[in-house]
Amino acid sequence: MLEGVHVETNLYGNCVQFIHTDLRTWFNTNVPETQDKSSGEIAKTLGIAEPKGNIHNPLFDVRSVLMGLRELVLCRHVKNPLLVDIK
Amino acid sequence: MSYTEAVILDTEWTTWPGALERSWSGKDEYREIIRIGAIIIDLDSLQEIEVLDVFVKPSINPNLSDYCIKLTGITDKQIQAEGIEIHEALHKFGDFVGDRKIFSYGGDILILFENMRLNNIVFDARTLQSDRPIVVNDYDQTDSSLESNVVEVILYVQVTGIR
Repeated sequence: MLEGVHVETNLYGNCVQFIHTDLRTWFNTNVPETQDKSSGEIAKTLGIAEPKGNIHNPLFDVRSVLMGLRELVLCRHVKNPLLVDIK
Repeated sequence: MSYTEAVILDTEWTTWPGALERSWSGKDEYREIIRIGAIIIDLDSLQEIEVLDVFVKPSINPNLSDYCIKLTGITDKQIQAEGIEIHEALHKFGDFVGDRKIFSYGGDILILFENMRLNNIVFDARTLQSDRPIVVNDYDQTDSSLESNVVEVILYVQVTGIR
């Protein structure tokens, strides 16, 4: 029987972990018109009501993305990309 | 990992006339984050649950260009009054995100890489699909090649570096 020392490393023990997914490809695939558009232009490009505020306000922009998600997932029944499991 | 909620992220960063076209390759041009906006959403209903809105002080170019002010609506006065250091902003963002996945439209995660590099914040990043490390030392801020390849990224940030 081999003898040895079992070593467990915990390289990321003191780290904050972020897992990020870029939705651009998903939007561009399902709505080609969104190519070359910024996040704040998603709702407008889809022809749906825009959030209140101005483009390049990051909250306006994330809400524009959210409204685009709602339109595609809830109205056009595209598979929700946020529910796709990643390992 | 939370499978009932997620975060959508968007960032604004310093810019100048023509910076986009030359990929911020001009002298002393860096994409320093000046505002982080994020929302927590319910994954089933896609309803907004919570909001994060943080102004960040740029460290290399502390004064915004007129072009940046006009584009984003963010002013130097706002940055001075409400802005916090990027380390603190990342810490706030980390607390906000918790164990939720982050989604964005575009390469906002790359902007985080750039800002962590610029501010000497220790981190490690790799792709989830292939567990391929993203060699950030080789990532030049003018190189956008990663943007088309990286879909899912896992990012570890040293807590000691962001407190």
